[in-house]
Amino acid sequence: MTQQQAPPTEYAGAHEADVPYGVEEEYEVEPALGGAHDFRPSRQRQAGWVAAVLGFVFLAGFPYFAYLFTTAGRSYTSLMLFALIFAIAATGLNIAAGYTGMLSLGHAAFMAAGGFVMMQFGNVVNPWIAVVFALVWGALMGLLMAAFSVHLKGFYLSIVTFLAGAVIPFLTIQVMPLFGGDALGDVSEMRRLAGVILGNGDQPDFFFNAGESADKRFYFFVVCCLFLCLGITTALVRSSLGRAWMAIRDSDIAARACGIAIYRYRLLSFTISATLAAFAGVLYSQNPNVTGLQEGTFSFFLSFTLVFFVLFGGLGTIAGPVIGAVALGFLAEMFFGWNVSLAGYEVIQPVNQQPGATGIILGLLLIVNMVLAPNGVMGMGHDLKSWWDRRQALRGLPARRPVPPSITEIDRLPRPTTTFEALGGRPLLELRSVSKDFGGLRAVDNLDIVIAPGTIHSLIGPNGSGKTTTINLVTGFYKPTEGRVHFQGGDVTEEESHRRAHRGMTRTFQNLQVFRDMTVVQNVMVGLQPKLSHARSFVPAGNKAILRRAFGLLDYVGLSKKAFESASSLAYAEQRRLEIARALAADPDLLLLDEPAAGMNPAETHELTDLILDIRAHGITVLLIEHHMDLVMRLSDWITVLDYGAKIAEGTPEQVQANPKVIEAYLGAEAGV
Amino acid sequence: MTYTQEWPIETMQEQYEPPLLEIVDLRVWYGAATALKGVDFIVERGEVVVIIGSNGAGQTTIMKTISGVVELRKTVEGQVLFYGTDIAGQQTHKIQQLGISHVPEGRRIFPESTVEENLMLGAYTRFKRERGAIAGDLDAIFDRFPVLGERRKRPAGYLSGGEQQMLAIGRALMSRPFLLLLDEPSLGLAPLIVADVFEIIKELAAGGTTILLVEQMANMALEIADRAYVLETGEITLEGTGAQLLEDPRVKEAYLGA
Amino acid sequence: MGDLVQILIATATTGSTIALIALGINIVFATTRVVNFAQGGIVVAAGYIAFVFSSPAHVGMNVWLAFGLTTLAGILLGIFVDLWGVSALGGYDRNENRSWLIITLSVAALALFWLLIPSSTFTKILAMVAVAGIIVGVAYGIARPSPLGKFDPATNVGWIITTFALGMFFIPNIVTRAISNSPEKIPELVGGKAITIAGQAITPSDLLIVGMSIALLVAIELVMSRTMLGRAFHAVSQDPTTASLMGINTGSIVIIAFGLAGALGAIASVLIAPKLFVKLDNSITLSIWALVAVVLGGLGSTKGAVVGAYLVALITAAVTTLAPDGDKWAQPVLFLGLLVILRVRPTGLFGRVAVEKV
Repeated sequence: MTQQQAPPTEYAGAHEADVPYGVEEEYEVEPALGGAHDFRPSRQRQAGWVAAVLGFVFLAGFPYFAYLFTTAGRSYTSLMLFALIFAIAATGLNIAAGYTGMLSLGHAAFMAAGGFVMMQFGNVVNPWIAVVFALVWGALMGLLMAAFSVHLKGFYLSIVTFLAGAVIPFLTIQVMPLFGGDALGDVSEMRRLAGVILGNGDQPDFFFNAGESADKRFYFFVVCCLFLCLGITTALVRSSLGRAWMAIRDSDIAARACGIAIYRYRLLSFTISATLAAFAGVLYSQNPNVTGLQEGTFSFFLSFTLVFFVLFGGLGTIAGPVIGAVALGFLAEMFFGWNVSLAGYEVIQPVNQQPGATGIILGLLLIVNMVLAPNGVMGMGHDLKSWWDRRQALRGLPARRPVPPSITEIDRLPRPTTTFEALGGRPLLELRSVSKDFGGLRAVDNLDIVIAPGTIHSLIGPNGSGKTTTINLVTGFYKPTEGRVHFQGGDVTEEESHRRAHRGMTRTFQNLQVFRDMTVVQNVMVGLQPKLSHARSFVPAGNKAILRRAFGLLDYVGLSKKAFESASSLAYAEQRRLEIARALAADPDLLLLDEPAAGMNPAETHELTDLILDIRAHGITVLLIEHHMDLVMRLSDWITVLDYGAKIAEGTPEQVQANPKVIEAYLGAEAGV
Repeated sequence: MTYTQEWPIETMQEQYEPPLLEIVDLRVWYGAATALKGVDFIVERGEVVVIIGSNGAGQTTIMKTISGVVELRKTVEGQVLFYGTDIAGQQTHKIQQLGISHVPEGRRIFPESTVEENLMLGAYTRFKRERGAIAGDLDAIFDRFPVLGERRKRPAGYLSGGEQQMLAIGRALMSRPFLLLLDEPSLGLAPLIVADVFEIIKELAAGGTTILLVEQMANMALEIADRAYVLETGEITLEGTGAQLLEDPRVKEAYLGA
Repeated sequence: MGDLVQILIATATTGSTIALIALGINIVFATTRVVNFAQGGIVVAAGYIAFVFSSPAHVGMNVWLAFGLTTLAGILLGIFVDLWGVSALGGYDRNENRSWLIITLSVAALALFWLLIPSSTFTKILAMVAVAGIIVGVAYGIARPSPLGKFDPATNVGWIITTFALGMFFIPNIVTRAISNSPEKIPELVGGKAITIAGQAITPSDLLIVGMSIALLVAIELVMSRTMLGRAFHAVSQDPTTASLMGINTGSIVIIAFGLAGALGAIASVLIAPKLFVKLDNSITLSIWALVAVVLGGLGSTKGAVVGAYLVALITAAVTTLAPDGDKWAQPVLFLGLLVILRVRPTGLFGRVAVEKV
């Protein structure tokens, strides 16, 4: 009897990869953009600090240069001031758009929220309290916009933010008078933030004449605020919270499987983003050059302009929004004078009045940006650097690579589990009479599966037999129409999918869901999510501990040499191993592997087999879906066979191979052809 | 029943007739990754030629290169000679107009269009000149595949895998191609259905359609092949007639699961 | 009663105009899965171009002739948006388009900067820095291997930015700089007396707007559903690669789609121009309402676009007329309503519900 290999894919077109697999591959190493900066070689980290200090000095010292070298110092300072305020808002936007993947087209609304509230309450109470009110209102509005958008993706998300962004300023203006007074008023009557904190600006200081000091002090204050915001953003982004956001951005399905509650994280990201933008709005309203805010000040044009700033500088980088705001904002204003209706103020001395020219240049720059350099200025820098590294490599000079941490045995292996005793002989996973309907189609019919701990249990069946549906039911991505799912002795049917990882069930994906824009080691660090609290990762020592553990897992699957490369640059088979390492990171009791050998050549399949056997040796239970029959027969302790959504056979490999029903389903009535 | 056009060229002497399709030293890269390392083979008019190989050997790359599908970062060197003329690098729709029909891997029918609309789209290039003939061909397809006739007005996305495969083949036939490219027709189908599909392919071959078929299910494919090649990691490693390769011990071990 | 009639008239006329623009957005989406934010720019440009052609102070030709030429201009603008904003991002067998694009972009950038360059030294230096920036960007784009060979609009949302940049920044500002920055008027397309119902006037222009719109809508729908070309459009919208395997020239189809959308935008602009002035703000607002209409009705559905358009017109007309301070409330009410609907039905009223495969 000849054994035929069943066709390897389930969905039509599922394997239509752009690149053929099983072929020796030499991919170009492309550094991941938004997030590969951790654990750079110390030279690079120092360079980062140097850049930050230089940036601070340049920005803080700018007015001095402007006053010394030009006659229009006040104009230049005020232009740069606006650019910096927009930079704060852009940094906020970048958290939501660049790091979490939620492109908001309505962020100017939060500037409006902050600015209008500040105008209102700055008059009434201590300005610092007013700032707090403004930030709280900004956060609330952020929550509101997020509530409408966290369930959406891509274009629909952007449209919703656009709509909400038009409603929120209007809402703010309508609600504020309920607390008394009109939100929009003359700034000169209010106690200005600058004057209050930094003293009255009427005395001259050793560089500047009287009347200019207030300007300078406020400017310096804004620079400090900007760097404070940058610092907060950096801390957030380098922590495990930031990694969770990036995971959601790259693959929200995989993020759920790693234990991340995506809606909550997106809400948090959006709220923080909105608060930063609201802060920018507060500063905007306190700008000495602003004569008043109108409803049209924070229009959707401004929202889009903020997006432009972020994209131009580099989406998903820390410095990107600042670069974009300073370059585009400052230059555009400098040459051509902003449309008055756009910003609601008049430039004190317009350098050159060319109405509409801003729009033309901005539009042109944006097209060049998106078409030719979609990763922005920072992206160009990265490409330059990797080109340089390649040149160095060709010359035989060693590239400066991050120094891997030293790891011990404890870090290295998946930890053995103690679930056996806890279960006391009960099965680890049980499906009881589970059925799933899609419209009129019954994909899974009255399925009973029992998985014993410490075994490798395989699920096989012809295409369309419901294997992947079953996996999705087990992992909580689908809810069963009928029946219950029991894991570790408890009923988990109603639980959300992201809870599974916390309970000890993780999975890999048939169609590969690695986090492509993060490094290999960061992928595994995301997998450690259920085991750690985010607070720990804000401390460098905590981050290092997470890194060591992730490295140990990479070492286990043999990927430690490529730890700091972008996950998308890995070969196909290596990406599969990465998914396994990520799934092992949560110390699971049950590991689900969805066609792990698809697209592997025989040598790689052999290595995979050894790996899975070793995983079982550590006491981890494995549920395997596969089409490679030799793999299944070699590995499995127990096999369940599905056909048309129902179980048709079950048993040891020998029993299943000999079962006539199985032969008929798989090979057709003409067995042995 | 013939599903191919009249061969429009009078051949003076058979020995001077170039093969319908000749691939000369075809090398293909995706970015830095090599997919094909110098592939040569020939398909004569009226033949059924089969290329077998395991997953990732490069079969789909060959098909897509012949039919001109645009792909990410793809570099192509070498020649794809269709009746003597190099068509490598031509645009997809122009190649289809030459008379080469490609049934893609995974079928790729249009799920929202009805069965009938899918078939009519197959005849898109003939629409202006041969309205009447197209109607006749449509009826012929429904005769041969009665299942499709029953589901004529249904959106194609609701058909089962096997029905979709028949629809895809029927759609390709509607343009009456000189050369039919079939990319893994057995993919994702139950073995019973696969047998049915190969029956159809046998009939088409008998009717005079030239067929180039790539497959992983070597058994059925080699049985209907006039000649066959084995493709492994981007290179042709064996060639012969279908019968020869069925008996070859290396093929048996690797692909026939003996 | 007078209010009701007023609302109905406004709904019919504004709604028809929006329906034309919305249909244009929908056709482009149906073919390329891209939402064309640039319709706004085309509407603005068409208005001013029609003004130039028909105004006695400029060219002064017959208004219907101007209408025809403006429609032609609309087609060209639509194709321009495609070439620079959508296809340039990669895809549809048009990789060779990039060098063409890069060259035209460079020339355009240099020319524009030279024309607009300010005169003081310091600013001149900064201007040169900016030009250098554009040139560097262009050189980088040429040197870097094309990262985008396959254009999947769902994941690569660069088109949001490029179409918006083109339509809301680039085109309107060029047109207003070149022609005129102030509101302009174009002559009536059809003269004649107005009918009066319940104290509200219905001019022949109004009737023309509604009549022509409905005729166009019906005609396009017929073409899309009955002809082979329409089937080809549908095929390209489902699977462009396989469509090209059928012998369909997907590049041409995309160009036709964009050209058609441009024409519709231009026609809408000229039809409504005698009623409202040709004004930047008006055109932008109309286009945003058209976008809202398409999203409300459901992307990809012609029926949805049309129904959405009339609904949008109805709501805004009703709120503006009936509510005190109505014109301030119209847009927020509309947007809030749409937000609520999208919460419940994210794909709009008639849109297709997409199932995500895990």
